[in-house]
Amino acid sequence: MIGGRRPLQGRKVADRRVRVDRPHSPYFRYTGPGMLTAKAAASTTPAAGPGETVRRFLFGRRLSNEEEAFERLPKKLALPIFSSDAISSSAYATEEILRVLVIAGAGALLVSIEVAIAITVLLAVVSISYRQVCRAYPSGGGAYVVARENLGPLFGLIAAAALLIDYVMTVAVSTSSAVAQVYSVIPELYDLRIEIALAAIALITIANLRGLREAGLLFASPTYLFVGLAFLMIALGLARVATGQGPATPPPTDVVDYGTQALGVILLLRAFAAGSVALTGVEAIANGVPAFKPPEAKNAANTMITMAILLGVLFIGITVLARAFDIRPTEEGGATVVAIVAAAVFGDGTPLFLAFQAATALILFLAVNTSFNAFPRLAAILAQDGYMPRQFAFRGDRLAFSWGIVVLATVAGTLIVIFGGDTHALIPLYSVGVFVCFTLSQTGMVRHWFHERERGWWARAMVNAAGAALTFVVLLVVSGMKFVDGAWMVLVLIPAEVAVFSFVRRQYAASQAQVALRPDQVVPVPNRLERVVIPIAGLDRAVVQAVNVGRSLADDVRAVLVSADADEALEVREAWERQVPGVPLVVVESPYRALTGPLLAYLEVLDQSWPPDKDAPITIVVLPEFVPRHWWERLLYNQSSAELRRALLGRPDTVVMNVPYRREEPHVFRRPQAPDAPVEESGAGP
Amino acid sequence: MEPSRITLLPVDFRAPDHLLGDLDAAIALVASGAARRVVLAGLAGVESVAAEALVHAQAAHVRFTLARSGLAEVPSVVVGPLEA
Repeated sequence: MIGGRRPLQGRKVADRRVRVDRPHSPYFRYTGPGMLTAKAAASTTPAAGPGETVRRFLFGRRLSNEEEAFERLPKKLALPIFSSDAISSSAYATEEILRVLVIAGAGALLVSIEVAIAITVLLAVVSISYRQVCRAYPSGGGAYVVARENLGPLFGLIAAAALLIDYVMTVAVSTSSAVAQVYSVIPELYDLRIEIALAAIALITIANLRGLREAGLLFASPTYLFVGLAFLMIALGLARVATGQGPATPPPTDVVDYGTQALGVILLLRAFAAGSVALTGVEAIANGVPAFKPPEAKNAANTMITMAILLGVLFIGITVLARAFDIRPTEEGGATVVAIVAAAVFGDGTPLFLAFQAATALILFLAVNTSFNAFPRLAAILAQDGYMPRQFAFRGDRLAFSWGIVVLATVAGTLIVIFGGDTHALIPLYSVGVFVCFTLSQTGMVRHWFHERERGWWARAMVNAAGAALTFVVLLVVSGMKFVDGAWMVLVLIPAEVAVFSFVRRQYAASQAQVALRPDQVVPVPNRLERVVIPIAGLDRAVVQAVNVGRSLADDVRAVLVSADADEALEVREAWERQVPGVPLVVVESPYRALTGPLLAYLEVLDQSWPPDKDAPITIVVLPEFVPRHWWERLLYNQSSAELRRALLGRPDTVVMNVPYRREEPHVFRRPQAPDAPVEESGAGP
Repeated sequence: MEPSRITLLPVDFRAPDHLLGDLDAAIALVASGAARRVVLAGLAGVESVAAEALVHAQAAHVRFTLARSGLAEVPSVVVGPLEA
């Protein structure tokens, strides 16, 4: 009985009362007529043990589905939250350009500003194109959705594969870069960079498994702090340059030597490709349109432009200052270019310098967190579409997509270890996936406008077409220029991921077809015979309980004892005949000491001896088990049952059933006695 | 207090062809070498198919014995070992 209201008649005619029955209230809330909603207590297993205590400490109490908070963000909060990934790119994009140009000597560094301007023009085109994605897909227009809906599933999968790689790389690159900002201030920490990076990822992982939400001032403040201090740095730096002052702190001496390579088109393209990491994360706003306050699309589109302006100004500003103060990238383990610029403007070790470095590290960690939100969501969408294992779509106790979070952390952590926590080694893998997404998303938008043909569609299609063409050219440049440095890995990984997605989808589709019921199919009453086989090691209460369960299932019940010791088998047999009359016992004296093999052989010959003119019976293998009272008892008991269960899994016409026996409840073997009846102890069913 | 007697649910009835199947399975198990001997205890009505099972056992060169103990109401069947 679920519970409810029960009218009661009192002793007098008008005496009517209602009794409210809520028998399940300790574990459930009564949410409507005939409806129960589980409380946290209902999902807690009593045998959880110390693992549960650790889990609660690390990840917090379980949350119900109703506790999911969905906060609509005003623009002033959405801007820092969704833009942290993109804006934080300005912390390392300039350095990537300089590292390429320095090969061609001091003169080549002069063109770093032109390269930065070219990348900013590209940023403007991409941002204007994505503005239109915001308007066309107010429910969130990730590259996967746009490509799948407009270009077909294959292109959708390519975009998804590229996006997943992009998110992993964001975590690896941003964490490494954030740690680099830390050891720019405290050089002694350089040797611990991998450990610090892994610890940071572990912390962010735990925070996200706890259900961290990217909302509120806590997450907005690092971005505003970084933007504010970066603008201050650019303004003060430009003032220094204008007034002819040199850097407050001279640039370090452990810099990369000038090369002697000629500055040609290839080197310029390589510098452009290296600096294009500045565009990573630009698409985040288009993905998160539903999180904006209404009118969502308009607010998101305007925020996109604000973000692009901020990123462009910061990127060019930092590049100009780096050039003006003649800053070169340092050797491995040295300070980052942005840290040297900050030291040149604020002075090394000053509070403003330290605050800027802290803000830079913070915004980079925030960018990491953006991926921790986006990757699991995309993986969940892919899982719902059948392209990834279904576990990725399951929400954990804290409503987070735990599988996605853990996989992201593991892969990104592995990359950091493999690449030695070196941002510059990781970056060649980064922007290829980003530009694959840009190109597919913009191309998808062109087709979208051709399909929709709403007012002004031609102009919109042209904007997206320009974006698609430009990002495709950049994709070719980035892939070509970074191919040897590591971009080839991404170009191999994307098709490999698509192949895995397709394989998973085919597997799910095939298994679904195998188990599907036709709508017109009426399931007949089963008429196959059942027989019960109970493997035993001796005679005890757990076995008796299993026998009783077996007899409630079928008439044809037998216990099977596999033994290598004839004397021991005889003892059990005698006890069986005396104490369990009427239930056949088959003693298989095995020449070997194995249990599973002889039992499987017995089941096999039993099947073969079945009359061939009759339908094969269902064999129900009932396994008696002890319920462990402590976690360590799991190691002591039920190992043979587990082995048998594994061996029988998938055997045709076979059902395996576990019958757990609770040893602390011997009273189930006692039958209630009549007051005047003699005391008798008896067995009972489960 | 520990119980000394247990009660079981009602006893089954086994058709003769099922019984023969059980005995044939035991014979096959011994003949294949998966078991040295198989003892079937408490198989009600086993006498009705014992003769036929004996023929099967002899054909498979497996020893077949019907043994009645004082305790059990029905005889046990001992199948095996393989005849030399």
